[in-house]
Amino acid sequence: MTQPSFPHAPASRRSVLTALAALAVLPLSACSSSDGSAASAESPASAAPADGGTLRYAATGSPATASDDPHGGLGNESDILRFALVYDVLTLPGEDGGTRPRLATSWKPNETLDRWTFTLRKDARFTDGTRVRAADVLYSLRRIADKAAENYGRLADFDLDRSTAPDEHTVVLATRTPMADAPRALESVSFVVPEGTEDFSRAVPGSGPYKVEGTSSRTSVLTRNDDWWGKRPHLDRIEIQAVADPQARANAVTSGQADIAGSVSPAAVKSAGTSARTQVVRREGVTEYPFVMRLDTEPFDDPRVREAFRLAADRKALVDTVYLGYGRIANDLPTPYDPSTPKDLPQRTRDVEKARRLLAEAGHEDGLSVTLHTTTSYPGMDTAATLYAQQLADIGVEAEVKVEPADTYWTAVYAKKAFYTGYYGGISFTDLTRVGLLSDSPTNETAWRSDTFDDGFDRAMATADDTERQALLAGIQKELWEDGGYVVWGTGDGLDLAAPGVRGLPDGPGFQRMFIDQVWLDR
Amino acid sequence: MTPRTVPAPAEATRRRTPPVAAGAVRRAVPVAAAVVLLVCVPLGRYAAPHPPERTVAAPWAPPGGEHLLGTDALGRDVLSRVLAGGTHLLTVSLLTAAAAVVCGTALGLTAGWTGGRTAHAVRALCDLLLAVPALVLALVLAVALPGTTAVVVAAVLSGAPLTARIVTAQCAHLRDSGHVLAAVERGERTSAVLVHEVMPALRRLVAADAGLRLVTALQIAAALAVLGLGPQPPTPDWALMLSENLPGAALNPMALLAPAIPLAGCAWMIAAAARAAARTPGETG
Repeated sequence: MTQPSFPHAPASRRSVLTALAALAVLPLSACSSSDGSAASAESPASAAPADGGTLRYAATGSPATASDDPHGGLGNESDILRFALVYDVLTLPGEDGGTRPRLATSWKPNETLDRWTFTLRKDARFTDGTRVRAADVLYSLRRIADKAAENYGRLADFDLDRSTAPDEHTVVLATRTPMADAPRALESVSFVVPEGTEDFSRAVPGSGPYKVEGTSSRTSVLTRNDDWWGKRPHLDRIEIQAVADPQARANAVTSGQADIAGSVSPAAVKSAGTSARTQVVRREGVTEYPFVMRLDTEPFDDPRVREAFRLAADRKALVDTVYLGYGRIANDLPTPYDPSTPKDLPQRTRDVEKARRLLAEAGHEDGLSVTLHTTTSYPGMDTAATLYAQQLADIGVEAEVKVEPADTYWTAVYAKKAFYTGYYGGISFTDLTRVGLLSDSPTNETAWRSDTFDDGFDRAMATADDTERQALLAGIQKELWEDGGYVVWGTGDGLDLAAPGVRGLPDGPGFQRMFIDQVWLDR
Repeated sequence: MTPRTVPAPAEATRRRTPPVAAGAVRRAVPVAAAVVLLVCVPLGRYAAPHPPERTVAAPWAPPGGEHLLGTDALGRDVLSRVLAGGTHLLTVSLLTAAAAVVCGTALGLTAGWTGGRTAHAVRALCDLLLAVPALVLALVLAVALPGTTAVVVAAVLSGAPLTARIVTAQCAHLRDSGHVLAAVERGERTSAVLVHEVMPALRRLVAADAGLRLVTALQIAAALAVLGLGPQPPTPDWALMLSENLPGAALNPMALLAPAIPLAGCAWMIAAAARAAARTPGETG
C-alpha cells in the first residue's frame, strides 16, 4: 500500500467530458435541495433492526478496471465491497483503532514477536459446503504475497514460505522482522478463497455473509448466505453499482436510484446533504493531501525552509476551502488519526513573520521560487495546491502550481518531484513508515533518512506491550514533526450519502466501511 | 454589354444608394462589434472589482452582496475572474487563426496557380491532414509539447488545409478570368499578378474563412484548457473555470455559467462577423 490504501481511480479526460455532459442537469438539483437538517447515520430512529429488503449501493468504480480477483490491486471500491461481502477475512478494524476478530478468533505472538499463531473458527464453510481450513487461509495469504507487484506488497512483511498450518484450524505466520501489529496488517484485505483457486472469472465459493447471484461489469447482485457462521444479516439482497463519477453517485441517491453513494465530494454533500431526503455519513480522517518536500533537494534540504513552509500554511482556511469544513486541521504528522499519534505536541499555527525570518536566515531574503505539482485524481487536490500557493506568497515564496494529468501523476510525480501534493487514504503509521519513512523504504517520498527514527521503529515493533509500543511510536513521530518533509495541514472526512431509511452503516476507519453485513432498512 | 443594361449615372445613384448603405452598415456592425470585443477582453482585468487570483470569501458563495456572481471553488470572486479570464484564449486563437490563414492562403495560391502535379500534391496533403480530428491531434501533441503550443500547432494543421482548399479552387478559377489573363498578357510577373489581380478578388473569401478558423481555434483552445492542458491555476481562464467550478455547480451555478456565456458569445460574434464580411456589397440578408 504505497500512496493510498487503495490506488486512485484516475479522473481521466474522459470522465471530465462525461462530467461536462452531465452539466446541463446539475443546476436542477440545486433547486431541489431544501434546508432540512441532515439526519445522522447512527440516529436510533427505531430500536430493533428490521429484516428484509434490497440495498442499492453506488460505489466508486469504473467498469474498465473491474476485477474479480480479491488478491490483486483492489482498484475499485465496488469490487472491494463485493469481496468484503462474499469472502471472509481474518481480522477487521475495530471501532477504537484496535483489531477485531472475524475468521480468526484469537491470536498470540511468540516471545520475539516474529511468529504469530492465529486460531480460526471451526464453523466456517464455503458456499459449496466444504469447511474453511487453515490450508485455505495459508493458500490465500501466499497468493496475496505472490501478487505483490499488483497490490503494492500488501503482505511483504510476512514470510509466508516459513509460515505453516499445523492443524485444520491454526495458522502460524512468520514475519520478516519483529512485527507487533501483525493482526492489524491482516485487517480487511485478507480475503480467503478455497485452496487451489486460480480462475476467478467463474464464480468462486466464498465463506462470507453474502453470495453472488449475478455480476456484470457495472452491477453485481448479492443474496444473503443463510449458512454464514456470523450474526444473520438483515438484508435479503445487495446490489452494487460501479459508478466512476462522484457527482453521478450523489445524484443516484438524491434521485432515488440508489440507497447509498460511497465516497462523494464535500460539494456534493453540501448541495445534496442538506436535503431531508438524504443522510450524511462522516468517516473522520479519511483523506489527506499533504504537501511533500524532498529533503535531498534544494531548497528543502534546509530545515529552516521546511519550517517556514509549515508556518506559512493557514490550516483552517485550507480545511474550510478544500473540504468545505468536512474535516479537521492537522499538525504536520502524516497519520494524525493513528492511535500512536503523540498527544503532547503543540499545534503548529500560521506565523508569517517567523516564516519570513527563517527564509531570510536560510539565504532567501530576496524571495524563493518553487514549483508545486498537483493533480485532479482526488477532488480538491488542485484546490489545495492553489490556495497553499497563495499562502506561500505571503511569506515571499513564489509557488507556481502545475496541474499534472491524473493518469501519469502517480508514476511521474509521486515520490519523484521535490515539492508536490500527496494523497493518503487512512493508512496506519506503521504501514506508512514501512513504505515511506525508513532509510530503505521503497517509496521514501520525503527522502527522510534518520538512524534514530529507524532504530526507534525497530524497537517499537519488537515491543509486545501495546501502550509501551504506542509510546515508542509517538516518540519517533516528534522527530518527524520537527524536521520531516511533510506539510500536513488537515484531514478530510470520508463522506457517504445515504437514503433516510438506511441504518447501521459502518463509519470506522479504512476498509471497515466495506463490511456492511449488518446494515438494515427502516421503511 | 449592351447600352440598355448600363443605367444613366444619376439614375443609378438615386436608385441604388440606400440599399448599398444599409448593406454596408449591416456588414460593418458585426465586424466592428467583434473588433471591439477583441480589444476589450484583454482590458477586462482592469475592470475587475477584486483581485482575480486571491481568495476573498468562503468558497461557493451564491451570487449577491459584495460578489455579484458569487465565488468559486477557492472563494475567489467569479465576476473578477470572468472579466480577467478571456485574454489567453483569445490571444492563442487569434495567433492560431492568423497562422492558419496565412499558411492556407499561400498553399492555396501555389496550388491554384500552378495546377497539375503541385495542385495534386497539395490536395493530397490537405486531405491527409483533414482526416485527423483536430482535438485528437491536439491531445497527441500535448504529450510532447506544452499545452498552448499543442493547441496552436493542431489548430494550424487542421485549419490551414481548409483555407488552402477553397483558395485553390478560387485561384484556379480566377486564373482563367479576363483581368488576370490580361495582366499575364501584359507580361507582369507572377507575384505581381497574384498580389494585384488575384488576391483582391479573394479578399472576402479569405476574411470569411479567417473568422471560421478563429472560431475553430477558440474551440480547440477551450477544450484543451478544460482538460487542464492550457493555462495553469490560479490564472483566470474561462475554459479552465468550467472544469474548476464543476464540482460546485449546484452550490453556485453562476461560477459555471458566467464563464460559459462569454466563451460561447465570443465564438458566436466572431462567426457573425465572418458571415457579414463574406457578403458582397449590395447583397442583402
